[in-house]
Amino acid sequence: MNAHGPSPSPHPSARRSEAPLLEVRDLTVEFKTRHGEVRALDRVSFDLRAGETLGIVGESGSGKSVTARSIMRLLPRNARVTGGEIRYDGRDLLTLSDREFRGIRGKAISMVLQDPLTSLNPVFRIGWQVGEAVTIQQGLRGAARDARSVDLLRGVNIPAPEIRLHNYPHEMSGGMRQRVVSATALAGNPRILICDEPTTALDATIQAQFLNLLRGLQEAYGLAIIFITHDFSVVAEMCDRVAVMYSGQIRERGDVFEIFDHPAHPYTRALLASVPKLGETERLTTIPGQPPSSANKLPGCAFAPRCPIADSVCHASEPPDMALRDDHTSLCWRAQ
Amino acid sequence: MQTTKTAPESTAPDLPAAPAVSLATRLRRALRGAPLPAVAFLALVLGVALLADLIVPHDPLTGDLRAYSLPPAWKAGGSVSYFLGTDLLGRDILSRIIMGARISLIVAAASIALGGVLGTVLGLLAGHFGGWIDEVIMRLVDTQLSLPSLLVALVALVVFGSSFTVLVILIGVWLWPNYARIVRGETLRIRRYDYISLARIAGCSTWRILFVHELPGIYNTLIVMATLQAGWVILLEGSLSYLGVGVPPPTPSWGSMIAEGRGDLASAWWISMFPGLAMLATVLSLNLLGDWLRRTLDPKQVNQ
Repeated sequence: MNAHGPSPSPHPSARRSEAPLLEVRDLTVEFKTRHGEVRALDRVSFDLRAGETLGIVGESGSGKSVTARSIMRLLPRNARVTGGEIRYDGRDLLTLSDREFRGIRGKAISMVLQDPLTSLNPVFRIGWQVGEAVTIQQGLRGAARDARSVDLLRGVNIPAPEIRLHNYPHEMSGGMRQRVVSATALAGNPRILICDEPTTALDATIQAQFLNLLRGLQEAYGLAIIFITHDFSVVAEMCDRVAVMYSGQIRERGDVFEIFDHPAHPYTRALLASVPKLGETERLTTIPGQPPSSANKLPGCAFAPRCPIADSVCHASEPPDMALRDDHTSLCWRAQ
Repeated sequence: MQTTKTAPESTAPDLPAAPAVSLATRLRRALRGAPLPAVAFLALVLGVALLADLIVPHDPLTGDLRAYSLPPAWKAGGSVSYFLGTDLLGRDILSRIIMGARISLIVAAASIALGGVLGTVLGLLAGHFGGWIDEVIMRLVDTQLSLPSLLVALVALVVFGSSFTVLVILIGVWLWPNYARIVRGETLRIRRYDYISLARIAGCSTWRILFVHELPGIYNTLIVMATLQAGWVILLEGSLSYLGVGVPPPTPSWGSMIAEGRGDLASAWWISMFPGLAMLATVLSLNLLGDWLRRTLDPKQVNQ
């Protein structure tokens, strides 16, 4: 395995092929809580094409992580997928048994988790943890496993990987640990990598390095990436296409330039307005109100109570998924 | 190998190579803050128990009737040969205490191993899977904890006859609910960590997750618990032996020795007193050690 360092590359949309690698259709997830069944995902649909990067943006509790975890079958015990399909390679992943799914998880689809500080088991050395993934995913043992582990660590730009193998997680910095997590996730040569806010817990400079690394890995492994974040500036930097989530629904999705230039949904516009821009001295715009609690759902559009342009239709009935320009849809009555 | 150079991340500076440390130094560091008298005493008990056959001054099972009920050596009429005196059958108290140490430790170790393994496995299953598995196991725990344990143990020992094996099984079964509860709680906490998710992503099977990834996070708790329970088990074995259903005679046990002397406390107090002191000191030391382990192994307190 050649280790490719990140290098500035042309915008990845050039590599895009048309057949979707992963199709998510009407994915619905419910949580059992003390207040009854709560719908965390409501008919979420999107495609991921080979080699592209899809951003999923939204504020806390909008369902971004639940989307990622339901694809990876890592939902908490009280959550249940109640509808929809996740198609990969012509198969609906939701119909696979747990044993069959282990042939997908880590091998076809892998994931980097949010918090590098809790993503590594504190009682095992780095080499043990990466080596375990190598053994399980590739059946390598002994010296071959160690060599492959070193390659993986070198592939994520960890200096002196032969020495680092002997470190415990607490002996490494957050950025280094996130690289180890990535190396573990890549042990099975996956085609899809889901990144659930991988840089949220990192300093700004380390964050930029990690994004660079991720782009390099995408190139080296030919990865399709689902990048989950609440940060629109990271989306602009990383993604080909973007899906904006609000209260368990994808409110708007489309090409990243299209969304930035012509945001159709008022929520997207509000999010974009709240991103700080260099050189502007005005105060940041905020979105009034609170995200809705999914426990007591009102009729109508979930964003309507906070929406500056909502009218009576918005409060009365749920909006349809409006197709705008090609590949650009918006879940809004007033989308233009 | 083609590697494109990137800006080096500010890594944690490499730790200085650990200087060669002698075994004695490492031992001293490991024992920093430990209750040394307790540790020393437990080491003594352990050593004595291991070497019991070799160091007993007299046969602990058969007595010399000519030397019955001798007082300890420093009392009038005592003999240096029977340093702690003899019982009513002329058996050497010191020899019997030494043999009894072995019995007590074996009973404690075996029953804690049994109860610990049983409780840990069931607790792991309950915590990890939840649902009906959790319900069934935890209701079993509740049921057992609501039984009057000493009475049940007495009945069982009378029914099955008191033997070493029955005693160990009984105490083991008595202990498992405590382990199951603690381990279940810890598993509930650990299974939510991202590193368990990462282990799944790495391809681990459910069993591997349970026993390779979740279990090691519980070791410290288990060590503390086993230490604290060892003292309790020694007391329990003593109580059962005192009541006549423990280790069957003539095998000496601290509890049965105390029982044997209870009729003659006024005239021959040493028959009950010395095994009682041995038990007291051992249990006290185990509790002190357990408390220290709890303070030392608890990561929250280490950071303070």
